[in-house]
Amino acid sequence: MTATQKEKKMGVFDIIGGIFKPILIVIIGAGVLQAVRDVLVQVGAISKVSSSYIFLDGLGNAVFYFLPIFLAIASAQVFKATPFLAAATAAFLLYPNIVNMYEWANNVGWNLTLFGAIPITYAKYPSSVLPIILIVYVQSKIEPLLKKIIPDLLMSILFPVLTLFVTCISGIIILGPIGTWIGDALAAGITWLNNTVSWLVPTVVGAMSPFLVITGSHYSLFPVATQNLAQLGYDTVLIPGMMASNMALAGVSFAIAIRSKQKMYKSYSASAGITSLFGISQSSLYGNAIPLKKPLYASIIGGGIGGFYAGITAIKARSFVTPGLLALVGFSSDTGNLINSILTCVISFAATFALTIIMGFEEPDANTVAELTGQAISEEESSDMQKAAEEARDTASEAEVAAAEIGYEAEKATITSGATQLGQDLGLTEKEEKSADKPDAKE
Amino acid sequence: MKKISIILTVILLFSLVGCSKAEKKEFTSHIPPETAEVGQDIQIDETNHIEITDINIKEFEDSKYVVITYDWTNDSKSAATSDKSFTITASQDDVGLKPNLKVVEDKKKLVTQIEGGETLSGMEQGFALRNEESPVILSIKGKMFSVFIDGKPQSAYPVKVTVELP
Repeated sequence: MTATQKEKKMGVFDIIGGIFKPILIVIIGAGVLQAVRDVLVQVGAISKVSSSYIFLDGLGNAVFYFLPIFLAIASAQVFKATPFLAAATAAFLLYPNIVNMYEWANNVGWNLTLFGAIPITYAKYPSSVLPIILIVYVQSKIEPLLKKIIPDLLMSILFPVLTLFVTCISGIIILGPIGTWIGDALAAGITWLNNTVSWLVPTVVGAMSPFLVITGSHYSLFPVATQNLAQLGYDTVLIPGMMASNMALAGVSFAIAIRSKQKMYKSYSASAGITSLFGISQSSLYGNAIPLKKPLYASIIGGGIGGFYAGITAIKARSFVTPGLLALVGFSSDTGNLINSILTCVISFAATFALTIIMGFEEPDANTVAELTGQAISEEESSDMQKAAEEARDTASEAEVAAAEIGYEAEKATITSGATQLGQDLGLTEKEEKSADKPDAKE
Repeated sequence: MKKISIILTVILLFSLVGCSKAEKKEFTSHIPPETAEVGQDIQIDETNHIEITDINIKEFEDSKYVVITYDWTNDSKSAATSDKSFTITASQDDVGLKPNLKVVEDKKKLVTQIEGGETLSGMEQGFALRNEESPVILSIKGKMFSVFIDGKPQSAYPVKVTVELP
């Protein structure tokens, strides 16, 4: 199978997994720092009204705010585009003047246009996922075309200029708003569902949260939750379902941490599980669930079950908090609500943990683990890999020798056959060849 | 190696906690009022003042809109435009109102640059009403990210103005 065929065979999850693998190391770092921030605030070690909080908050949030830049570089590696041009496009989308202009235009109702004619749809790029992946995909298709049409002499100037111009412009006109449109449609659908069958909403959110996070469309549900909190004093749309989903992903990670045969992956999964318990589940999602596939299905089922329980018991989040264990404080308005919230967490975690163990999973290869953890492979694992590589090399050289022998025999046969044919055509060797052929054939 | 990483983590945590208690320098900033009224000069941040001068209801394409008229004073030393200086949003019954500039007289004032010390009068913004009974709450936010209250930073907040509809 050629490299191109392999690329064509990559599924959506393989692509997403491939994009997120190299950046998980920063996501998990930032996730843990966010959890540390929340714990320090909860225990009263730092105040939300302090510069320490602002710094620590920045440490955790900056990675997520500038996520499109990390995604751009990783997507470029997957789609075979130029990484730093992709990063430049992401930086363009996050440029403060552009972000502020979008915010302002959206707030006052100003219709943004490009060159006074092309309408620009409002989009929120900080922390977004889908827009930049789509933009880099298009970039990977544009680059070969540009390389074909630009003369070599002007390549170093025109290639970056045209690539940036085309990708940035197509990004803000068409590709960027796609994520917003999906998010808006989703928010409208969830709002309708909440008005019609409210208990179903946490079930759907609990089960589908991994996909909401992948597309970044969970951000579209934030206004719905904020509005509920302002109007009703509680939210039943986003936080209960997402808490179920995060606990489910924690269950996935801990099950993998127990069952995995690779030390480093065990360690990675345990850390991912801890951050998921605190509501930051990206490392579980992109490092465990998506690459191993079966755990993803387990988390969907487990999150759905937990979300269903949250729905039928109508648990209410009284404040907008990161949906993890610390969020339980926001559910403690009355004892019944708190108990049902704890049960939601327990059910989601236990169901997914059990499902992951029962369904099993394929171990990721050592390179993937090394990429996820950002660490060198251990000596033991390295020697195992070296042995495996040597064995593969031996097998390959044996196969090469065999192939060469077959090739030599085939070549000899071709020459003999050609000579025979030539002799027959010339009428020189007919009798001798025929008599000579028979014993050969017998041999 | 394990010991070193544990020690580093502990140092990190202690330094974070220590930092929060080691702040001795007193910082100050303008503290905007939490609420204000129509006709009042509202200083929303260090350099920007807003005064709401008029409230109207307009009908456009079968929908009703509230149009607010205000003056903006740029009290800084340099030229500025409103889009980089403040934001005014509106809500009714805790639901954000959709903005619409088709109902205003001169929307270009929103992007008109004024020099430091100058006032731009008659600026307008329109919002689609949900009903004509409930009051409209305007949220006016300046360009500060945080304000210092008792020397401690806090996220900046918008000034709320409650508007009874005419």
